[in-house]
Amino acid sequence: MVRIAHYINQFFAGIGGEDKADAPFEIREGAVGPGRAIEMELGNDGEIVQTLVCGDNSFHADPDANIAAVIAAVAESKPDLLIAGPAFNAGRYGLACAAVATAVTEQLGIPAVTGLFPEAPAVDVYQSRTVMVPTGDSAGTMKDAIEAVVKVGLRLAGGDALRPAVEDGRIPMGYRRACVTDVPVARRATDMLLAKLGGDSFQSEVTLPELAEPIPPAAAVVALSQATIALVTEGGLVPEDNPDRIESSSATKWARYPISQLEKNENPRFKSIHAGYDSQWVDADPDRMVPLDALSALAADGVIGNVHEYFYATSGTGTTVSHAERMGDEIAKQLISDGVHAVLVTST
Amino acid sequence: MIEKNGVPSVLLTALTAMAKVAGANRIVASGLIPHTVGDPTRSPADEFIWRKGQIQKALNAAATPIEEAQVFADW
Amino acid sequence: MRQPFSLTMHTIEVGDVVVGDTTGVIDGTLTIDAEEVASLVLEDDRISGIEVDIARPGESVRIVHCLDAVEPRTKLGDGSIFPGFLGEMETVGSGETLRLSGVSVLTSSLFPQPFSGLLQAREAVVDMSGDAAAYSPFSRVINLVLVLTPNPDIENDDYDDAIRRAGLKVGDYIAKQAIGNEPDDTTVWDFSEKNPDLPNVVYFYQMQSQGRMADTFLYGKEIHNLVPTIIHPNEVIDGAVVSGNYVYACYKNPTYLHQNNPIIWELQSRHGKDLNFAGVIINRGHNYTQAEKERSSLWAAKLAGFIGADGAILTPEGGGNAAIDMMLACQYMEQAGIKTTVVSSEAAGTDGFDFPLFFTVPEADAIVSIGSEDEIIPHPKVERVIGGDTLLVDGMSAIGPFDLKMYFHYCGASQVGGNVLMGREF
Repeated sequence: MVRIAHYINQFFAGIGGEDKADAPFEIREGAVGPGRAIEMELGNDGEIVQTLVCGDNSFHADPDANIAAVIAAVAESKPDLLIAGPAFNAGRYGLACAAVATAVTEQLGIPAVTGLFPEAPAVDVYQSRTVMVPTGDSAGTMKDAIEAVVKVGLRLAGGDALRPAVEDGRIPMGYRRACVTDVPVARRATDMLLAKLGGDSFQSEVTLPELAEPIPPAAAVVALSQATIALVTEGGLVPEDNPDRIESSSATKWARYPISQLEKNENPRFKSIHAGYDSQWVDADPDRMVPLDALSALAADGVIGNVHEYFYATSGTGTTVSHAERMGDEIAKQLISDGVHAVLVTST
Repeated sequence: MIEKNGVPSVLLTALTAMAKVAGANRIVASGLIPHTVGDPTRSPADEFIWRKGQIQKALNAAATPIEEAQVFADW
Repeated sequence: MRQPFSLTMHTIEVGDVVVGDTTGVIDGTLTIDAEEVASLVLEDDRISGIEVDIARPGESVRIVHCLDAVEPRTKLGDGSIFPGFLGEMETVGSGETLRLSGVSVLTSSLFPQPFSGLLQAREAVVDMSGDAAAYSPFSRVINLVLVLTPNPDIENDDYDDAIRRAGLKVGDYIAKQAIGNEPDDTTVWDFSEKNPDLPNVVYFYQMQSQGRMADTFLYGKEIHNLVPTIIHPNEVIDGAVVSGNYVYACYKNPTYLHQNNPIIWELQSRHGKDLNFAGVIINRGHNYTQAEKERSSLWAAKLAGFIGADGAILTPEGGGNAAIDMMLACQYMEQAGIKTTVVSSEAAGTDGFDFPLFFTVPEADAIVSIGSEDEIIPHPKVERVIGGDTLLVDGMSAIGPFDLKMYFHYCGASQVGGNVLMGREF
């Protein structure tokens, strides 16, 4: 018999509607409101031992305190599972449910599940951290929502791991894992090709991204002969002891080094720590990846104003898009505050 | 991302297809993967002259107004 | 096609491998005369020592420093197996070949000299049981492991040649001792008859070949300068393609996976049923410049057209760089009206949240995913390790427990379908 704690708001607890959204946090024994329908769905498999109620406005007035109250209550009652909502398309209620479910799992290690309409605001915010089943957009779909929530909830309470989102019937959390499958790759590939050739529907195992919004080109440099130009590289060129510990692959860090140091290239020497290309030519002559000699010569010729005093480096193999974007942003802000007019980036 | 912040950036790379996918706007095709602005088949003096030429191309690209992503070819 | 490409493949299924007095197969059990194997290998004085060991599926055994794997095969009657290495130079893929299935000859060794640079033999692990077993196809066959010790005075390139020949020699030798046994299966590989009502499917087989330690050999010669070329499926599975690729454990195709390429075997089994297997186009990936990638991929698409392909399956060997070559080939084929399916590994980051592919083209709308190189996989403590005490990764103790990226698993991210894994969204 699985023991379940249930989180709901003032409306579903029967306290009142919008006028009672400031109802304070309270703990009630047993099932309340939709909790009774959940118990009917559970049958002999489970019971709701505790219902936690909080008004939508009072939750958001002090989320930390309210979550702490939930955690305290649940830590004491020690259920096998927490169900929050379902909240359908509700904004405040949905966010509260997702926050509560997330906290209970992250802080107490107790599985938790909520039900949300896929376009509800809480989904974007909590999707990657919270187990969610998709519901309709109103409480009119309560019966189906409860069925879905209970199905996933019971599995998690029984100690089962999450299955791929499509199999679980969940809103995807968004991470990917390799799973053992019983259909060999070669058969999947051949079947998929034959379906495509026959004009039948097929499901690609990776969906192509929507093409990103093109970034509008930045305005061209106006007075090149007076411009400060900075060098940036993803070729992983760093001082030989890699003092900033930039990773050789899947980098999350970048650093900048004085060009005077690179020019000297002695104590420290510069070399590449990038794991994705044969670095012998660059190690022999770093100008082949960070063209300081050429740019300095052009500055001396008056083609540009001057070379920025630092060059920036990271390694670009296996770097995730999100880290790359963050690093680019951070580097950009420094460059702007240093008055750099344009950047030459070398990549392998 | 540097571009998004308003600073014109020129990407020198051997893999221009990759650069386009990554959203670079001013792309100069250059060199080979292990030495984007290096050419070890030349003598050091020739290599420097070649490299200076590549960088000049990149600077010209930085000073060229463009409407959309453009590859400035290597040959 | 006038060349007679009709190959009769006889299979003896091996259920167990034991060490004993005489090498041979009786009732599905392969006995190995370890001393005979050792003296065969040590004929080459570039190898100074050998230990012969056996790892069976389900055992609490881990094999480390894996290099090449070879399925024991030999030609019946005249004929070369592994032309360019053993025996005369000739076109393979016809006549009769005997294979022992369910067993591989796996070489494990360190190299005599230190490595530097990109092209080096990296760690490659196989767990025969437990949570990490799913990440190598070699957990599902019995491995006759040759743990080799190099002559310390030779160069790595020289040793590489020695160990490759050792594996091939032992594979041929074992299969020869099994001649005379009744095969469990006999299949004729012959694609000369085509059914005009069925689609013509070509297999684009991209291989890694960038230099020593990252070599693939075609009839004994590295394919670094290969322009895409047409080859008969029978040739690929009959020893024309040999691997010398040790740079990325997860992606590489050892000789075993060229002999047993799952895509080729699948297409063979369906020839005449729901497709015509029209041929194989092989190529090297990792071309160095955009222009060279385009040149190579355009050529492959052109050949697919020459063959009259309606559809193509494409597989790369390698990571992001190789993916670019393959995706471009996919794009050019689609633009020429040839429908494609590509097999791809993923790189979704250790937490799995990043977009999984390094590079895509809009035409790649049919992708089979085999899992991610980034996943960190927990490994249990095992009873026995074959091949060494310390991993070539962070000096970790090989007995375990430890966490290791999928990247270091032997054929973990096999894009020819060596594993039964699929990337799924959670």
